[in-house]
Amino acid sequence: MKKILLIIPIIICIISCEGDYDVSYEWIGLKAHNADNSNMWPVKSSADSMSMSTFAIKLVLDADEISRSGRYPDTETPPINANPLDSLVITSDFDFDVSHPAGTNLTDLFVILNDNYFRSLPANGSEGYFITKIYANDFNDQYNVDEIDLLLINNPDFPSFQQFHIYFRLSDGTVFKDSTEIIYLY
Amino acid sequence: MKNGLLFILVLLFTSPLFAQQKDESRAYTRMGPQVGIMLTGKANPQTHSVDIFTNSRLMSLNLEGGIGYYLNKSNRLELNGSVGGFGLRDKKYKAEVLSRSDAYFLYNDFELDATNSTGNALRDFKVVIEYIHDLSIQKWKFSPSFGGGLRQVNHRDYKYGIRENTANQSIIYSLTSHTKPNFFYRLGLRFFHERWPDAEWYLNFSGGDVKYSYSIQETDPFSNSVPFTVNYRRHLLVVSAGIKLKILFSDYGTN
Repeated sequence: MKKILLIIPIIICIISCEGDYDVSYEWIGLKAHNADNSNMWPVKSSADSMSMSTFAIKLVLDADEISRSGRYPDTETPPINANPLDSLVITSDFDFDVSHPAGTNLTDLFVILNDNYFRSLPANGSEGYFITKIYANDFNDQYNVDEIDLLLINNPDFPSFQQFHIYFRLSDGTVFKDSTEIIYLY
Repeated sequence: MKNGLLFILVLLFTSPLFAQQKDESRAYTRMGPQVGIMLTGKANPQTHSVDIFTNSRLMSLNLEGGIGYYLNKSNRLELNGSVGGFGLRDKKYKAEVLSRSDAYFLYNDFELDATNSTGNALRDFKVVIEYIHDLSIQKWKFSPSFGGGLRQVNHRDYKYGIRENTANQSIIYSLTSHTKPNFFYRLGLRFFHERWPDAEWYLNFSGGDVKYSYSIQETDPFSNSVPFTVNYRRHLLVVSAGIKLKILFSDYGTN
């Protein structure tokens, strides 16, 4: 009888503590947009000109959930990207500055915001690509990475038109390519 | 500071052993919680790009305990120590700081994780000696009190980031605080009913300067760091109320 009395609460605890989310997802598509960072966070912009000081590229990713168990999102057990980013190349159709003529890799000039200014990463991958939502304020509502903000931190010498091309290669070799709209950066 | 608190706690828990040895013991212990609100706490001077502390009114919660001694039927002395803190809300702090200027954005999240966290409280330690005079009005006792002591308000080390709204680059500030015990005074009024002499209600008003020294590391997006120090003074005025359970070792003072 004592054993039964002991086992029942344990079973209740196990059932009620179903636990945190165990989520796995992968990216299956990408769209590149110009973005304006003159507000608290970058937002997509359709403007045809923008200050180069607050220019950003917003990559909108189509995140496909592969598996899910548990009930609650938890930053300690964030979703696992089954096919993470391996390399990123950003180019432009136009000369960026003297040392970056049209077509050269501009990745060194950008950082990945990673939803947090304390956790931003060089876009060239020199510190890896630990891209996550755990630092985002809306993690509990959106825990899979479905957007990446690339902030321009080295401005061109002079105002110029730019159109950026994104080459986004995943670990399994899958490549996504897209381009931003042409924009005048002043 | 910690040694002082330890000393008080030792006295608190050992005093009944000594007190109960005599029928006419005049000693007692007391312990209980108190809640308060900060009336003023403006940091002065404002030498930093963003105030290190919020100027909004913070709630405080403390646990205070101590020992007392009846000098005669209506006068007593107490030695009290307390541990607690002031609540500090991330959203409230951020909204208040941002309301002062629209030229920049502030990034911090107190509850984000240990690295970026300020913690959600300012730790508050106090040791105070008080004189209490008991007045009897029918079956109630009203006891004005006054005293002084030492207070130390600690802030956890934390980081925050500032970004001008005309730039993508943010500046990260890493702060380490150093505070010393500062003098404060306390005025109060207590009351209890003869029927429940062990439950003493009270209202306290305390004030005093708290001096801070912050070692700050300013880091730009290219990992260039500049260390500097900010010193400032903050005058705290706090009104608090609470109840303490009093353990008397005789009927002295209640009859």
